[in-house]
Amino acid sequence: MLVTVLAVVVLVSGCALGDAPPPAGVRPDGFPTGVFEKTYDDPDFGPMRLSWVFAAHGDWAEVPEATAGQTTDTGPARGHYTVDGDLLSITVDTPPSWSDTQHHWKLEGDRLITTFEHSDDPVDADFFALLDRQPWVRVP
Amino acid sequence: MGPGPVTRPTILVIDDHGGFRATARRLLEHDGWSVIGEAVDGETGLAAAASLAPDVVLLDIGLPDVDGFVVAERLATGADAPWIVLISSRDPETYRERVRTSPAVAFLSKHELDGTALRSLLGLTAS
Repeated sequence: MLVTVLAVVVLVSGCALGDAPPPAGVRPDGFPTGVFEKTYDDPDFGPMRLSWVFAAHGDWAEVPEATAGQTTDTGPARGHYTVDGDLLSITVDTPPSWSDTQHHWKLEGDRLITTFEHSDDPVDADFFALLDRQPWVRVP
Repeated sequence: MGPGPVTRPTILVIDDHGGFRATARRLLEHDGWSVIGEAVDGETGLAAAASLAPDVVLLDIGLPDVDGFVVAERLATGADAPWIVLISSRDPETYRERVRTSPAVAFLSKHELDGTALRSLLGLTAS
């Protein structure tokens, strides 16, 4: 991981600044890297904001946040992702009890639309049915 | 410049996007950092850094009031200046020369933020 971080440390000279530099992050396979978020009303926890973080080298993180001051015991999840055509596969490392999931995806501007495809955990279908109602929006 | 060995390093997050601040806070705290403050713009961030004295400032380049590079210069003038890590969602190449000449110790793309890796990068091994 350190090597990965060091790889993005900029220490050498190069190009000049433009007035409106482009957002970073579309991989050769077309999948966007970056931080994406959406808000939703969780039936158990209330208003939530969820972020998915896609690093260029394949690391993935999910970060939930309760937006109305309520208490949740759900921390960040971490793992990896791969892309095969329009299929996004997320492998969850932590929490270890979470199942891996697969989603179809498409990018519309700064909005990432994912549609749940598969998980070994039957609970995931209901959760993603709720989550998939709106797109992920890129965090600037 | 920067802190010595610390068990739970402290960090101030300066970014105008609330969603990113919340995401950064949760990721960093999960990885053993103490997020002691957040600020939404450069001037607020400078005031927060002066009062909180964090080990590290995570500083967005694209702030609404003052350019992040200017904030970095001002943060670095103190006797006990924090380590400054610049962040952006833009391509690192965009800022290459300005990062090189800034007092920041590193630049990270926002999606590369990882508290464990950041500790290693800064030599902040747990004591």
